[in-house]
This record gives sequence, structure tokens and C-alpha cells, in this order.
Amino acid sequence: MNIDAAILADPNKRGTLILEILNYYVPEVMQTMAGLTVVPGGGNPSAPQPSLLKGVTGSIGLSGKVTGIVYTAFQENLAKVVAEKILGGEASDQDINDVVAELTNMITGNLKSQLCDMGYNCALSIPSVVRGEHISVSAKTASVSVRSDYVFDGGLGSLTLQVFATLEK
Amino acid sequence: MSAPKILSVDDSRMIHTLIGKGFNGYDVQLVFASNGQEGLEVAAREMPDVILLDVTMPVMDGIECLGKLKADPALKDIPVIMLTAEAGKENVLKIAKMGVRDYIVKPFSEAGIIDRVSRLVDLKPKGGVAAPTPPAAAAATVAPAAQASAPKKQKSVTEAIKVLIVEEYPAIIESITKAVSKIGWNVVGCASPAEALPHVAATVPPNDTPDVILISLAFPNKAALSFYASVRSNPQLKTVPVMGLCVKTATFEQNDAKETGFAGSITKPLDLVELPDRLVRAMNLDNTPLFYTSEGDVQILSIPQDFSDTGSVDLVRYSRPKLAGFVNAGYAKLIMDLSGVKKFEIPLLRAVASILSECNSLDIAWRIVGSDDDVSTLPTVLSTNQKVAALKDIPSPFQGKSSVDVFPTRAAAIGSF
Repeated sequence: MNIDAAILADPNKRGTLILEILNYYVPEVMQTMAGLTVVPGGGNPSAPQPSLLKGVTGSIGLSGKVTGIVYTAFQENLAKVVAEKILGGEASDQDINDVVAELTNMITGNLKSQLCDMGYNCALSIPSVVRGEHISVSAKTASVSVRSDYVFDGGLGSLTLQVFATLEK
Repeated sequence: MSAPKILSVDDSRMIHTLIGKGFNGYDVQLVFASNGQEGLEVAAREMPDVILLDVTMPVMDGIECLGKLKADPALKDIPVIMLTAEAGKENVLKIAKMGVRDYIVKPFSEAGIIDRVSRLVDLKPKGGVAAPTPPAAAAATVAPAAQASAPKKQKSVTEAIKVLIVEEYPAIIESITKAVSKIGWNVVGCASPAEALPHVAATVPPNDTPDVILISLAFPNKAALSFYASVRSNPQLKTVPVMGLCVKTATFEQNDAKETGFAGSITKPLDLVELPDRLVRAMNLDNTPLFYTSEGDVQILSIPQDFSDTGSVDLVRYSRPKLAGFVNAGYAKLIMDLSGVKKFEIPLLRAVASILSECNSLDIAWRIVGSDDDVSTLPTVLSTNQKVAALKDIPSPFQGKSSVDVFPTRAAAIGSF
């Protein structure tokens, strides 16, 4: 994808740019890895905090010129369907966690690549996965809070991404 | 020679499972490690032929592991393919400088991994034995093994080549069918990738699988690229060329297809003269059987009425070994039949001149067949004598010949030898 790096210089537009990157890579990752069609279902580049998530939720931290965290919250049934599509058979809870962690890694890795190419070098942490019906996340010092929903074709469910980030040149 | 050994170093069991599935139809030994430290130990013990190495891992990441592999005299020559979601320019430059052989960007397809690995080791399909399931993924039920068999045997251009066309518009399928049926090829048309999937399934007998595939790049959600992955997951179809169909302005789609591994794209509106020649080239087929025949000890080269640039270039390329083969077999006479040629344009002019020059250098006696009777009222149509006059502008085939006789029939030409 082609991103205008100058946009990142404008703090007010950083959320919009991150949302644009997510809207490009989330459908690509799901289509390539699981053969599932996903469309953006609404996003907020200045999302309020705290952000409420639920389901099987992967998270990866960013550190460097970008500090922050990316959450990917799959509805529980959706996480199972996605894992079974990718693995080609019955998926245990551990398999589902592993798939969610890896998909979070792919989405965050591509986000990181775009940011690095624009001069915001950062490193990724190892992904971790939590489950819950009421997961409240916030990062009061983050200058960017982006929340975006993605809808899977066939009524399989939805995925929510929440990104907290602070960018420093 | 033993099956190539592939080491996958990744902390994700999902990646190990996908690699296990991807190589299921191939005769390979798969070994797995879940971090860089473990990867170094397994590499030293197993001495794999290729290492697939993730970047972000606990204990020891892929970058550190790569550095240690390259610093170890016993392991430094093992080719490493990095498997990473972090494909930023800086990251790619960093790993390239460390001596990595290739890298695969996540998300990836199974076909993409097989393609990259097959550039480094000789992958051979195996017969029906399931590949080892990665130990860490034992709990997951892996999809049934593809019915593995040898890659499809390549046909000759004059055999009944099977063309699978996946295209939404019936008129396009009809046009292509008309163009390729002239040379005896068969077409299977499908309106969508879903409809075409049964034709590329591993269960299809080898004789029924397509020899070349054309798919529209306009299907939504990059369905053509997903279909490509399905084709490549069938070991029989590993080398079958897949070409895209699109309008000229669909440059992004064409680039995506090229990066995925398509053999090229054919743009609409279709050039129906060029199209069969593009397919012949994509299949890497010798096109001379379409044009050469023999009568007694004389070889006849009939240039058709419609002849594309692609076809003329390939005819010259394949004529060289063919003409040498004639001489080796004791033949030394060739008739170039130009009577069917209506438009004598520069590429064809060059092709004829090149073939005649080749004949001269091999001491093959040649004659030209045609007559002034083949002139129509159209101003662009040349008589054969005019074609010969045009050929004379290219000196090489006519060196040392004060005049070139043109014979009205093949029989007259054969009688003149």
C-alpha cells in the first residue's frame, strides 16, 4: 500500500492513517490465511478510553519511536471458525489462542513495517492472548487511540481492533 | 538421494501446522523448533537443507539466531528463508545484509512457501504417504493429505491441450474457445473460481487436469490469487502455467498476479491471433509442429495467414534446433510456403529471413512457394513475388543468389531440387 508519510507529521491525522493501514491489512491477512472475506465495519480514529473488548483477544506491544499496544478481539465463535479454517480441522482452545496470537502478529507486523518505513522505527513484543467478556483497556498517555470493527462474510462474527500509540520523531 | 530436510523455526504452532500441510504432498523431512535457541540446536543435530526462520520469537529471536547460524562454520552455508510480518525496508535490508537467502512476508500462502523452497531444493511429490504432523500441533486434525502424484507430463503443442478458463463473461470464453479450437485444443469454461475448483482438485485424474489456466483478475476479494494457491496445492499442477485476464489499465491486479506467481496476464480486448501463441509460450512448448510437415525427404514450413509477433519469434527460436535436427537425420531440403501469408509485416519478414539464413548456414537447400494469384483486391496484400522482393532488403538469406525463383505449387518446388 502507498501511504503519504507527511500525514504522520500531523498529530491530528495519525489516527486516520493508522486506521487506513489497518483497513488494508486486516482483510488481506484474513483472506490470505483463512480464505475469509472481511470488510471494515466502522472505525474511529479518535476512540474514547477506556475501550471495551470481549472474546479471544490478542495483544502485542510496540516500543521505540512508536510506543503502544495493539489489541485484536475476536468473538469467541469467530475465533474458533477462523482457527479451524486455517488449521484444517478441529481446534482446541490452545490452538485458537495460538492462531489469534499469530494473526495479531501478522496485522501488527505489517502496521509496524508501514510505520518504520515512515521513520517511526519500533520493535514488537511477543504476542499474548486473554479471554473475557468484559475486557476494559486504556492507555491514558497514548496520543492516538484507534478503534475499528471488521465484519466477516457469512455472518461468522466480528473482530475489533484497538490501537493505542504515541509517535515520537 | 534422500528427501530434503526442512527446519521450521517459529514460536507459532499455527505456522508449523501450515508448513506441515503445505509440504504434505512432497517427499521432504520436516523438523521443527519453537525459538531461535532450539533452532540452533536442531540445525546442528539435523543439518537441514533449508531453514525457515521466524523473526519475532521468545528466548532467542530470528535475527540473533541468523547471526549465530552465519557465525558457525558448520551451519553458515545452510540457506535461510526468513518468514516475517515485519517487511519494512530497514528490516529487509538488515536481514539481507546478514546473508539470508530469501524472505517470505506474512500473511503468506502455502503455495508461496513451496515456491520459495523449491528454488533452493529439489522438491519431489511423494506417493500417498502423509507428511509428519508437527509435534506441537498434534492436537489439531490436519486436513487429509492431497492425493500426491507426479507433476503433469507436458504435452506436445499438437496434442489436445486442455485450457481451463475462469471468466465471468461467456463471450470471452467463447472467443478464446474459437481461437484455440483451430489448433485442436479443448476448453473448459467456468463462470467463477468456485465452479473451477473441482477441475484442479487433487482427485482429478492426471489426464483430465488442465494444461494451462486463464483466470479473470476481476473477481472480487482477490479470488484469482486464492484460486492460484489452490492450483499450486495440487502437486500435479505445480508447473501448470496460470495466466490472468484483465483490462490493460488493471495494473495493480497484474502486479499482484505477477508477485503471486502467475505466468503473465493477457489483456482485453483480446488479440485472438496472439492469444494461442501466448499460451504456447507460457507452457514453454515448441511451436514448430504447428508449422512444419514433411513430404518425402523435403521439409515443408507453412507460414499461416494469421501469425503473431510472439508466434514468429518462437518459431525462429525453435526452428534452429529443428533445422539442425533435419540435417543430422540426413534431410537437406526445405520448402517455405508463403502462399497463405496475407500481411507481410516486419516481425514475420525477419522470421522468414532468419530461418532461411539458418538454412544457408546448415547447407539446407530451400525453395519458396506462392504465386501472384494469391493477391486479393486489398491494398495491404502482397503477392509472393512482392514478399520475396521485401525479403531481399534483408541481405543475409540471399547472399550469393542473383535471383530467387518462386514456385506456384509445392510439387513444382519439390521437383526443382
